[in-house]
Amino acid sequence: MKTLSLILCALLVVSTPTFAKYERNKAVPVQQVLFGKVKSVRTITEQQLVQDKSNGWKTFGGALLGGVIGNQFGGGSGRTVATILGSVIGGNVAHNQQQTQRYENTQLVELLIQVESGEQFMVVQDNDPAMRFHQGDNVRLIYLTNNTVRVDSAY
Amino acid sequence: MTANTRPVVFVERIKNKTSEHIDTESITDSISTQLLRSGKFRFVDMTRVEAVREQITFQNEDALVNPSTAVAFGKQIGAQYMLYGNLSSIVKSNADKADVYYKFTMRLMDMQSGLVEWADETEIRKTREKSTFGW
Repeated sequence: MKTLSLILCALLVVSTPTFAKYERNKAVPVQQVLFGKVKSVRTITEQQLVQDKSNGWKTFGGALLGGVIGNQFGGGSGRTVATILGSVIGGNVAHNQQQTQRYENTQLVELLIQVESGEQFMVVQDNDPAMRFHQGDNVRLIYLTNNTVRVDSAY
Repeated sequence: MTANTRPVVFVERIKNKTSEHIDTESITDSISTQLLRSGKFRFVDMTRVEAVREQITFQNEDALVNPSTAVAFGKQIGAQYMLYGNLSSIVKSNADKADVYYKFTMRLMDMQSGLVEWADETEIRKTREKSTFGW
């Protein structure tokens, strides 16, 4: 059975919420690119991740801890990913509290991607209004050198 | 007739291995258009196979169409060669400058023998001076 893994994508720079928090047209170093197809798309909110975190990662944690992500990110374990996810959420909440009491409910998208080798990857990333994904879309899974992954539509 | 000796090619795709979102299908279109115009190749278009199948199925199975005018199944010409390629980039940046090397590689494979009959590559370098606010 193919291992199902969950990869967290870049949510590092907190900027205006209406745009994706990364630039698709910026040339940055790339580790590798995998090509695949979207098997399912689900919109989730950061709130759900925060709730799941307080529940002990019941929804996203299983995939995280059981995943192969640790091997791919070198020396880590599934827990590392949970930590990254946790720190991203923590960072965002802290950022919001500094400004106002308002909770910024960032839309995220959870993508299940089957790459050409047959492996399946779960990726959570910002919901980019300029690039929406649908089931069956051809996509690229870009592994960046800052240990994050980004999904981009492919041709 | 010379037309029959021209090799039949299908374009697979240009794989974009850069971090940037680039419409490589458009690049592929330009390349195949140029090659087709050169008169040295014949092309089959894999991106329209389903549309063609739908049309030929309609012609052969729908009572509206006169069977004597219907395009027959099994008459298309198989491609002998596959044209494919990669677009990759190397990014180098320091305090005041960012360099991006783009490398574009293309290959032509004889699908029967598996031999790569032709390959070529080209590099483009783009340099950008960094401003105070980054880039």
